[in-house]
Amino acid sequence: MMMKEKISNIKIRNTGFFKMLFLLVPLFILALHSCTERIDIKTDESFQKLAVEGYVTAQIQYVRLTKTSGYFSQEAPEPVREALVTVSDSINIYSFSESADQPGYYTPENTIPTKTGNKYKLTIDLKNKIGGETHFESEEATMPGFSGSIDSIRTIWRGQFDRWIIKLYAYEPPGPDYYMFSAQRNGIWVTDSLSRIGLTDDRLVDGQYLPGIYVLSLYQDELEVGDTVTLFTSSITHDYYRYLDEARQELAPKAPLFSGPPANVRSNISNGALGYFAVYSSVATTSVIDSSGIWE
Amino acid sequence: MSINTINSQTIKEIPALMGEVDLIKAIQLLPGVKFVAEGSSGISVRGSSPDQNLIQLDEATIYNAGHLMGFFSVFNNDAVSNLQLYKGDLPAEYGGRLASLVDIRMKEGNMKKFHGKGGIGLISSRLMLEGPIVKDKASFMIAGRRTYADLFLKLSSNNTLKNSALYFYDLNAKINYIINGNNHIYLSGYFGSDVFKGGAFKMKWGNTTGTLRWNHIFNKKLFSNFSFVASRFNYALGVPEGNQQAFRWESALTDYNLKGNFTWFLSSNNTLTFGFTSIYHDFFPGVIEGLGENPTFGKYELGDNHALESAFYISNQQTIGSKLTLRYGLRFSVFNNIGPNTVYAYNVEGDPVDSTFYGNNKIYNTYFNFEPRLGLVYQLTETASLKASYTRTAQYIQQAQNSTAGSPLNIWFPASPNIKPQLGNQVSAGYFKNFKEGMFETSVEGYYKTVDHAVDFRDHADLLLNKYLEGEILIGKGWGYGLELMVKKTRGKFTGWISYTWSRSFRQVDGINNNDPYPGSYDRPNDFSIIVSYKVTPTISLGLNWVYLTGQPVTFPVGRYEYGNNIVPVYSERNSYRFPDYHRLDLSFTWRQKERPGKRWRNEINFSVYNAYNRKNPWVINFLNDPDKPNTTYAEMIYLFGIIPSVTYNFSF
Repeated sequence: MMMKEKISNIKIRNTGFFKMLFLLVPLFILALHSCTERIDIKTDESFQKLAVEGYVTAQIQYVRLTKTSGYFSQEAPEPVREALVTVSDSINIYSFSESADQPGYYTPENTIPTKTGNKYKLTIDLKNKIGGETHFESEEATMPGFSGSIDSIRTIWRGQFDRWIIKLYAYEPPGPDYYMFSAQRNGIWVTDSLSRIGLTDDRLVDGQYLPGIYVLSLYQDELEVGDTVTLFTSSITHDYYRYLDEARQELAPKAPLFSGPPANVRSNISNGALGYFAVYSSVATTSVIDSSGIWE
Repeated sequence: MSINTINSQTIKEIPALMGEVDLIKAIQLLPGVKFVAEGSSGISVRGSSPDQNLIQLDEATIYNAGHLMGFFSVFNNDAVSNLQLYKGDLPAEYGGRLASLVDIRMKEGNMKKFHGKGGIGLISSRLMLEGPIVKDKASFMIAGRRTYADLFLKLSSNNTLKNSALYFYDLNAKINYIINGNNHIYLSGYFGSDVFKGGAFKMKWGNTTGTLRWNHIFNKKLFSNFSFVASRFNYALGVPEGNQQAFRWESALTDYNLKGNFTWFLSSNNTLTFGFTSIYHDFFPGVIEGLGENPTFGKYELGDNHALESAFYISNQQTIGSKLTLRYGLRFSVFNNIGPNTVYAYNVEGDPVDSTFYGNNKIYNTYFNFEPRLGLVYQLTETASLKASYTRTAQYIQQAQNSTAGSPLNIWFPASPNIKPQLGNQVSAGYFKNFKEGMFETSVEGYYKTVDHAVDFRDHADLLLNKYLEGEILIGKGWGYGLELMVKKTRGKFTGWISYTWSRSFRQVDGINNNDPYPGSYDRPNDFSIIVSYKVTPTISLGLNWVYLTGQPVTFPVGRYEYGNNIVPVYSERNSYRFPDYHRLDLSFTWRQKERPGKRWRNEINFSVYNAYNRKNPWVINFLNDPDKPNTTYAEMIYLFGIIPSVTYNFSF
């Protein structure tokens, strides 16, 4: 009767400041009564569109093109090769070339300068039609910037959640802002997927000093005392925030008590393509884990 | 027409989940009524959403009828005398909801003798006492319940569970006082609360109601009832000060309702009903605030929102000749939004673009509607009749709820300059026939209904603690039709009913499903229930119910792509797939001690089995990435209940 692992699904690591708290409740109920079982579901497999994953930031600049597949296809996505990919800011157009060893990945021939307030746009022309189209464009996106200031971060161990918690001390600037948090351990990414990053708006903290709020949580084996932790606080656009939030809602298990109906995640690419072309800027903050945080 | 009545004895005989006799679960077995999710005490009537039902306990609106996340209803069967369900065809006296009225009346205390009953079950214990305060003049009834299921949590090996608590309690009380032959006063109240604790985190929610009713007889022809009713639903959650991340979150909805209802027996052929009702709503959508010396976040508060919902109505029941009875009436409803409040204007994407502030006590928006209510009964023979009705209703307040089953974190919001009232129209017709002097009652009933300005929500709507909630709302239309068949046996060793409903319900909302129509969330075309009680001997009875429902309509992923090292699903059209069909068998065995001369105490033991053949009915189907295999996705269902046996001991005196 007990259900496997539902308690560990409590997603304190990724949710907004308060969303996480009420997620506890149905999980307790489930843990008491429910059971899970894999089942076979047949769904229509004919769906096919272009999928885009593109970034222009100071740290990463690439565009990945793939084809969507049937939900249960169980294979790596098919790369889309030999496309003409360009990104324009208001002044220049930057051409991308396909990586020789990673098909479907395109990188700029010259590094694109990133500046707060610059407007960027992605254009894709395919050799062969996908979903009836060859030409795709992203909506123009303005590079956001962080106008607050970060004091420091601190990493502590919270036995209650079985997680490492990264706390942020910073001034949050007035006005609506949207943040994505990601982390490196000794220079290597630990938050390596959409479901691991931290994501929040500033609804509850707008214009305030943040006295060590929890922004990211990591598993026990991902960190240890003495590690250097780097937190990237990324200012993202409202639309990209919504994209990430929607995608994460669709990745998380649903419960009839709280979840709305499944719905497609938005996209900022034209002509029916899926995915997102994102521009954002990040501030990196570093600290070393000391043993004093373990007992908190 | 479209009315079902159940008394508390019938409800008691239906096998129940964990032995907890539950009247909402009993209603779910009636034709045209479905549960919103397995085990839930939410109901969908003729394809409606759950917030389109007006659930009243002694005239007080119950805004959240569920305990323990909805698995049990707030109604203690021992404290209830009967309930009537009006499926859309509301008398002119009632309004404010489109789909149904569930009118529940608390038991009145016995005027002559002191009585009591109670029980000890697997998850709860209860006690009801009643008796005269002044013989033949005043009486009382008081009933309480408390669950102790959470005690089992202590046995869990999981530390988090061990330190958790989850329970509810409730209390019903009623006093009735006969001043004289012409004046009768009733005072009743309900208080219930659910508590959940997990570590430092605590959450509480519940309903509180109070009703004062004065029944006055002016003369032989004119009767009246005046009521003052208060009702409140609130919840509070948080982590108390002194803990890490301490915060509080509170929300409430409070109603004050004044009503006057008159019945005038104009002549032997005409009975006139008229009156008024006015409800003052105080919506407090919520506040969240960090606590302590260094709170991790500040305060985010949504202001109170006030509204006045009033109606005047008049209705006549007229008999023409010996065969025809007509009922015709009109309800005139008025809704006022009252300041202070800030109203936002939204663009097509739902983002706020402008705001207007309205000052204290300013009526800044008014809606009114004429709601005709018509019905006829044509007596074909002594045992057979034809009935037909037309009803128009307006609904001015609704729930911000996007999920199928609903949580305690209810937010109700009013019609406003941005949100027009929802309007419902329903026509229904039926044939009713009794056999063997009323031993068998049969009925066939068909209906067609429409909803204008149906409220729905944008994809991925953010409904909790959102200042711009109205920007998440989309307005569309709904329609549905169905045929309901029922055969009921009322006397003999075997009693019970068989019901079958065939029905459909649809929605079309601009901004959802590419603006194309789609099946509603509660569209379950085939719905069959059989409820049987068999008296084996005067002391032993057996109960059985079996339900079958077409699977719930759902949206499944048909495609996928990779983004950020995750597989993102791409969905089918809204509700274009279905869960496997739902079916379940429940059984019960009851032994009740014989009446013994000179002894009032009677014992009763009830054994019941919920889901007797262990059908795994999906509660939800999740589509997940396999964490160990990067490109592999799979579907996983969660089902709530396997076979659940239970035993309850009851007594009465």
